[in-house]
Order: sequence, then C-alpha cells, then structure tokens
Amino acid sequence: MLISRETARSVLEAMLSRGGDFAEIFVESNVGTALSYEGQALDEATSGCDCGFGLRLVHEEVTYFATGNDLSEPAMVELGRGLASSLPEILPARSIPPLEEREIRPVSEVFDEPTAAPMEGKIDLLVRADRSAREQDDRVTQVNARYRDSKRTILIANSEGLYATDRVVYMTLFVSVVARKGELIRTAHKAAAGTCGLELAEERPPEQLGREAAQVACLQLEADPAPAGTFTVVLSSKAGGTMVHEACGHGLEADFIDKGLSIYAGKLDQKVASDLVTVIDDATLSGKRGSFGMDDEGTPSRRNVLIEKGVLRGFMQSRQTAKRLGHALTGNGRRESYRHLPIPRMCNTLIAPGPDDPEAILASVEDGIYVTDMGGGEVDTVSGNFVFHCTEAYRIRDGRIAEPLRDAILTGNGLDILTKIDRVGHDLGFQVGTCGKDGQGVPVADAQPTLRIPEIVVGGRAP
Amino acid sequence: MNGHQNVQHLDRVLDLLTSLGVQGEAYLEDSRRTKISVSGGKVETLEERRDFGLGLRVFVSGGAGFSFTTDLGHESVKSTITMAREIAEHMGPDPAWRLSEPVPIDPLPFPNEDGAADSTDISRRTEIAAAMERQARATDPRVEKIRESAYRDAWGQVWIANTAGLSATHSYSRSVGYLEVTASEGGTPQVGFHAEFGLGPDDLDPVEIGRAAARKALDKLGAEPARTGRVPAVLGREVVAGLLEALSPAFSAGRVIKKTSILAGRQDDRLASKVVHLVDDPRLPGGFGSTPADGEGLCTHRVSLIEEGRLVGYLHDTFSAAKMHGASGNSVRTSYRIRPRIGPMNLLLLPGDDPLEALLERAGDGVYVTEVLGLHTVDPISGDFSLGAAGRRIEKGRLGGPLDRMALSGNMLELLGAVEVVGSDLELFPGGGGAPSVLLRELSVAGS
Repeated sequence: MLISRETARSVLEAMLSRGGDFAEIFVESNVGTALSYEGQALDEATSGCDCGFGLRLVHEEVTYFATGNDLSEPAMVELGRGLASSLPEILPARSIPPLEEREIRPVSEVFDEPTAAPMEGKIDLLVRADRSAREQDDRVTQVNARYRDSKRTILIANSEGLYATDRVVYMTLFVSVVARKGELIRTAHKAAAGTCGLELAEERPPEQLGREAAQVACLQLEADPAPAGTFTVVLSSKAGGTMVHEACGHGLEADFIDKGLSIYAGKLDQKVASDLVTVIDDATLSGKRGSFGMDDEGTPSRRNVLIEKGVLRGFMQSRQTAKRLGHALTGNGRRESYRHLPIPRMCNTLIAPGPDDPEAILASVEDGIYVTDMGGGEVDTVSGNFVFHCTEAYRIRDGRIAEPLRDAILTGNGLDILTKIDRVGHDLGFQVGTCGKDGQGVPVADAQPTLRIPEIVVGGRAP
Repeated sequence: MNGHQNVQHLDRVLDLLTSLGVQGEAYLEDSRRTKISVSGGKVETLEERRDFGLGLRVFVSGGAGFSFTTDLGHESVKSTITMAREIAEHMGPDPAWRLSEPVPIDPLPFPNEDGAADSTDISRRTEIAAAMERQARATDPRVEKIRESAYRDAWGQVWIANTAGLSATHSYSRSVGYLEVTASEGGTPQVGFHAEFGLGPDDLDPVEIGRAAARKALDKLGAEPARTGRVPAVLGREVVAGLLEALSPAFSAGRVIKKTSILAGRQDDRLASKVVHLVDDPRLPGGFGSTPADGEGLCTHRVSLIEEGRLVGYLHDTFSAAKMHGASGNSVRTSYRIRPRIGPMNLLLLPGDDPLEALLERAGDGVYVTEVLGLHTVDPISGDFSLGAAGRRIEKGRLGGPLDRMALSGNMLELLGAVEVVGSDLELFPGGGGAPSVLLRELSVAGS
C-alpha cells in the first residue's frame, strides 16, 4: 500500500477540518523505462520513479486541488490543512466513516513483468525491429525503434469510506521508418501496446512491426497524392478506430454534455447514427491499452454501451459530471497523473462488428478510397467537425484495391458521418494511442469493423 | 521555495557523483503552478501544484544515461545515479557525449519574473478569469456558453550544475489567461479560443482576451465548406506560428545528424522565398520562452535559421555542437522528469512591412485561414502535412463569408517556397515564439 489506512484517515480529516462536501486522496507511483534506438544505437534512455499525490476537496460545487511529492504523513496532512484553509468560510469539521479496503479485480494478466527485467533483453527487441526494417528494403534510410514500460500503482481514499488500490502494467513497442528515393522522403509508423508485459513481443514480434513500417514507408514513395473532393470511403478494420474516437467518442464525454458543448447534448434516446452503428467503451477488455481495474476516482471499470443500433444511450462520466447530470457512474474518470484532476475520458472505444463480409464491402465500391491505416485526428466537439489523417490508403477501382495514395485526410461532421455509414463488417481491428485532452494524455485503444461511408470529404491535393 | 536548501541539495548530489568517480550533471527544479477556472462568475476549480525533483545525467563508458527522482534523500539519489549509470553503459558510445564546459551566463536585460506573482492572494487572479468571462458574454448576445475561462500561472527556479564545475540558476514566472466560448444563431454553434500571457497577472488584459475569444466564435457563424481547388491564401499569424512550431524539430541538429529531418544536408540551400527570415531568439523581450540559460546551464543566444530564404543554421546542444562544430545553447527542459532535448525557445518569423489588409488585397480571391486542426500530424521528417481548417473567404481583396470543414494538404518546404509577402502584424504566443500573417501564392484546399 502506498500509504496506510491510518495516514489516509489523518489526511482526509485535515482536509475536512473546516467542513467541505467531499475529500479525496490520489496517490500514484509510476516506475518505468523508456528506450529509443536510432542510427543503430541506443540514443535515448530514461528510467525513473514518478511518485506523488493529489488532494481534492469539493465544497458547494467548487473543487480545490493541490499536489505534492512528499508522501510522509506530516507533509500530506499539512497540504490537506492548507487546502481546507482555502474554503471561503469555516464550518464544523465533517466526520468520515471507517475506511474499508475495497478489492479491485485486475483486468489484465501480466505474464512477464517488464519493470525488473534486464535492460539487454529490452534493447534486443529494438535491435530486432531495426534490423528487419532495414532488411526489408534498401530505400529505408533511418529507423527509430522505441520501447516503453511502466508499472502504475494508484491508491485512492475518500471521505465516503473508500480505500482501494489498483496496479496496471503498460508496455509499448513503436517503430518509425524513413524511406527515401531521390528527393522524396516518406515515413511510416507501427505500434503495439497493451496492459501487459514482455509477452507483447511474442504476440506482435518487433520484426513484424519493423517490416510492416518499412513496407508502408516504401509504398508511400510510389504513392500519388490523394485526390481532393468528396468520395466513397471504405475504412478497413486494420486501420483501427481513430474515426469513432474523433467522430463521436469525444462528443460523448459528459463534461462536454454538462456544459452543452457537444452536438450530442440533449439527444439521449434519440437517433444519432445509422441503425448499423453500436458504439461501446469498455475498460474491462483484458490486455488492451485502455483497460484498468478502477478508474482514477476509484470507480470499478465496466463496459458502457454509448450508442445502441444508432440510438444514443449514455455518456462517459466522472464523479463530477455524474453528480451534476444525475447519471450513474461509468468508470471514465481518468487523469494523466497525480498532478491532474480527473475528467471524463475514453478507455477502449469501439464500433461493434456488424453483418457484412469485409471483402464484399470493398467489392461494392466502384470508385472510392480504401483506408488501411489511420494516424492522428482532432475534433471540435461543439460543431462535431473532425479530421483524421490516413497514413496508408489506396484508390478503389471497380471494387478492387488500386494505386496507393498519400497525404489523405478525411474531414466531416460526426452526426452526419455516423448516420451515413451504410455497411458494417463482421471483423474488428484495434489500434493503440495516447489521447490528449485539456493538456492531459491518457493511454487508450480504439477499434472498428470494416465500414463503408458513401460520401466524405477527402483533403488531398487539388487538381 | 527554499533556495539555500536547494543549493545544498545540489552540492550533495555533485559530491556523491564525485565520490563515486562519475561525471554527471544535476538539474533541480522547484516550481509552483496555480490554475483558477471560473463559471458563471464563481470559482469552479482552484488548483495548486508543486513540482520538486532532480533530473540526473551521468556520462560513463562513452554514453549518457538519464534518470530522475522526487526523493532527494541520500539512498534515493544513490540509486538514481546507479540507474542512470546502467543506462549509460548500454548507450551507443560516442565521444561527443560530454559535460558542458562552464561559461558565464549573461543576465537577461529585462525582467523574466514578476516579483509579485509568488503571492497567496487568489482574489486578483480569480477576478481576471471572471472578467474574461463577463466580457465574452457582453460582447454579443449570440455568445452562448463558456467552456472554460481560466487564469493559470507558473513560477519557479531551476539549478543546473555538473562535475566539470558548471553552475547556473535562473528563476521565471508566467501568467496566462484563456477562455473558450461558443456562439450560435440557430445553425451549427462555433467555438472561439483565445489566450494571452505575461510575466504576472497584471500583464493580462481580461477585457481584451474575453472580447477576442467571443469575436473568433462569432466570425465563424454560418460557415460553409470551401470549394475544392488551388487558390491564393493568407495564413493568419496564429496558424503560421503553429505550423512553424510543428516544423521546428526539423531544425534540431540532433535530427540532422540522424538524418531524421527534412533539413538534413540542406545547409545554405534556398528553402523559402527571399522574404522569409526565421530566428530563434531566447533573449526576446516579452517572449514566453525567454531564458538566460538553456537546459544544460549554457548561456542562450540568438540563432539565425533561415535568412533571405536560405537555411543558415541549426539548433544545437552540447552533443550536436561537438559533432557538427556548432554553438550549443538550445537544450530545452520541460521538466526534471524529461531528459534535455534540442528545441527553440522563441521561434520567430521576422515581420515584413505590409499590414494584413495589404496581404488580403494582394490575394484578390482566395481563402484566409485562421484556424487549423490536427497540427500534431505535421511530419518533421518529410515535411508533409494535411490539416482541417477554418477561416474566411477573400473576395476582391476583402474578407468575405466564413468557411470551415476545409482540408489543407501540402509540404512545409513547398509552403515556405510559396510565401509571397510576410505581414507586419507580428504577435507572440504563449508556449514560445511568434509570427505575422503570410500571403501564399497558392494553397491546395479541399471542400465540397
């Protein structure tokens, strides 16, 4: 335990010594290693333990928050007392029920714990990725392979009697390849990540990541600029779920709903997407990057159906938004670290598989664009307008994959695009990422089946 | 903050390194941040964050290993050194990994902190956030909602010392006021965001910030998609600064050495049109990133990157300077937890003589781009970008109706080459750096 029950109690009492509706302690220890291998040598390496805590005091809808690194009881109590003194008035101290330890079930099993494993083995993974990328094609001019592991232990105690701890182990392998032909330079990335240990490298060998990144980078050397205009687009399940993440995921985060800053606000139980579209956020999927036992406010993780057959069913909540909106907790209160306040965030977000054969979806398009890898994206939740970048795409001609395209970006409006989706495959493909919001990054995964969008704006090169 | 005690901490770390016979560099950070957000005139959240920690680099076996800790006790520091040492032994050995030589630090000829900022008085700060919100609402009845109206500040001191005798320290403070509002008149609501900064709360003009955010949302009401095509374009100064920041890793000599920059091997080449002059100026009065010393404790200096369109320099740290015979001073630290990296302090596109109106007039018919989405996807290795965008039409040299859902794509070098005129409307932005608006001969725009 990061702090004892007795310490937790003393700190909570100090925080509520001048009244207040709710007090919470969030303690975190994050131990990890990050390695970068570039130019065929280990060129960056960091290792360390980031430990600290954040204290949150809520009184009459005002949140007071303070953080520190000194986990000794006197230091924590002092910060708690300081927080209490920021309340505008002095009220009688609030009493706290006995703190009871709550059992949190870990959702991901870790077979080969990376934190204590020798450095040589970790570096070897990067050497293997580098070598296979270089062997794949002699137009590969640079490879950057990155490794990261971390073990994040959190402890949450609050004035409602909660005292619980959760531990999640993260591992990431990332390969970025630069290919060159004359003046032309193209890059490609492939990543594998999850809440798991070194066994990730067996499931998704670094050689495979290196090879795939090299193939895409070299393919991009031959690719034509994507055309600009409106096209039928097929998103392959291989491309992951950036589209669902941007087109509706952010808009279903309840802080945007609470403030009326989402196109989905006020649309509960209304039709917001095609009948074929069911959207789920699920932090209980074993091994996925967005999974955990409890969220960063102590709410156990669960599977939440957000859109069911096109009908809006619910939002992703933190304690604050759930209370304000009068909704149940969903386990989506997440924070980057003890330095930040929790806000509603996605975990593993996906569109559920549908009835169609992915091959048949592709074959159904006479002229269009086939997207097999998506990069980053961004959304303005108020208007619902979003963009995402296609890092691997092809022209579809007569139902077949034709020439590769580069620099394609898709832009549209979430409500409009989700309503237009007219074919949904029976497959499902995951991608991993770190989602940024309000200056906080959290690990996520997202997934989609193969989808057909009859028309969407493709930002390519205008003729 | 206890400066004297922190110096003692640092001395103990250096003594320990010396007694272990290890060459090393210690970076100690002691900083505080506050953030106050207001909703409906009342405080919504009040955050106070203290960061105190040690970042340590050791140079052994020809490599450099980095580790960090928040616990400055003897045992903890010792195990941090051991960890950094283990890492260094696995690094690719290179004689360029070396300690920075001590140099005198020229103080900045202007203040870099607000003496009054380190105060516990929150009422003045709360009032700034409340006034921004009030002003945004008062600007126009179509302003509907305020997502966040917030004041934040950071103040702190850093100490950098190494076993070669280098020792530097400097302190800083910054205040930022920002808000995000929505406006609507029946159709799709639109968002406006505006932020301004200064050394302390008194440097902020909340009325101006509130009004600017409201204006940005109002200006986009009724926006339509642009027509697909290649058109003359004016990029607003915020967009130019964002694009240059996204390209800035390409100026890192570290990336040039590893050939992961589009600018590798292009020294002295003509990259941009003649009107483009780009510098990094860490000693810019009023610059957000202004600092007397860099992340390795070296004196900062102005670096010319592009002169009359020609690439004339890269940004260096001690490692890259040793390899390429450059001048170091561009090592950036964002936290004790993150190893120093090469980067600009205040990346600045030098302004020309023409006001924005003259740029619009010369464009004739085209688009004026005021916002872009997806800047993090700009690739500093190939220079390729594809972005979502919003802005206004330019019709007969004047601003026309609003546009959104535009998609822009191209390459940063092509874009620099297409610059016809650099405007005079230079503005400095929070985060570091500044730019004026620019006129592009042609930009590829996708829409309906």
